[in-house]
Amino acid sequence: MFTWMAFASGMLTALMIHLNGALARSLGNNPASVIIHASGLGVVLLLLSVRRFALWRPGVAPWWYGGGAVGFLIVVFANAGFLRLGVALTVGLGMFGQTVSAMVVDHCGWLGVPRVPFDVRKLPCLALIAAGIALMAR
Amino acid sequence: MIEAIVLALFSGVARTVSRLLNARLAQSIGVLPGTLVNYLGGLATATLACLTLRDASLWSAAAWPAVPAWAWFGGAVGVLFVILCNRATPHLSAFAMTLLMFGGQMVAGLLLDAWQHGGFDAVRVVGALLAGVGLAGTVKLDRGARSHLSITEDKSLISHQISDEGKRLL
Repeated sequence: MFTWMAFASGMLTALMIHLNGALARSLGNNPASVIIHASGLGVVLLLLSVRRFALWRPGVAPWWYGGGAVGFLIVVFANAGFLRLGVALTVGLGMFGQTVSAMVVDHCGWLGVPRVPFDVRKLPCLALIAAGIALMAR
Repeated sequence: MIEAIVLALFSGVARTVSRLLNARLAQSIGVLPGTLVNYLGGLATATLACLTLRDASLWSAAAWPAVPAWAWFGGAVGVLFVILCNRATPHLSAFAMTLLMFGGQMVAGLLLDAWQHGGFDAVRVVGALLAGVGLAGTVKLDRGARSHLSITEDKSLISHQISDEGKRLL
């Protein structure tokens, strides 16, 4: 059950890139991201309308609120990728960028994450991912 | 082509940063309120980008009919993704979660591409499988490196690889 949920959430990511990309093709990248964030906001508001919630609690650092602004870059960059590369390649490249950057963050212990030093044995694995992506891009 | 590749890579880098920040926020105010803040921030930034770049096509009614009806629902699909992720994460290992999500992304991505561009390319499937094996190795090594950390910190890679902490249910 949860296995399928995880698999389905992955499929949703691909579907989302496809839908957002189609919108960006018709409206342009920036206007499309206005619509994308507004429609997501509408759904969250609908879900939250049935309960009480607070958007602030003591101890929350101001920069934790910056995730959405960075999220705008995710959408715009992914759309730009989709328009030239299609869904699968955009998703693959995004996964690679995410994995490598997460390793850098872990290695340096940035943003308060526990430090995990880089393991050189990961290099052949990364090379394999890059080779797979290159094969898809061919 | 190169430009598109670099941008797609950077969308992944941005995802790492954004998920780290969102995970922190979700930990203290909850997943759905955190998602609300995320979409508010994104909407504000997107609106600002439109205004500063004088991108007027959003308000020109001529562009609207060109949009396929289903293309309006990308944002809603994003919310559904956050909900599913947060349901599944506490019940699966970081290893299983990462690979299942990658599998789902690739199956749906390859199918959508095949549907849009006609025909199915076996070489691309082999490429996706190779990348999957590489990803499996990376996550496996990462799990080993983390085994000395406490249980609560154990899922920190996954928390920026996928969505926010699943321990915080809706």
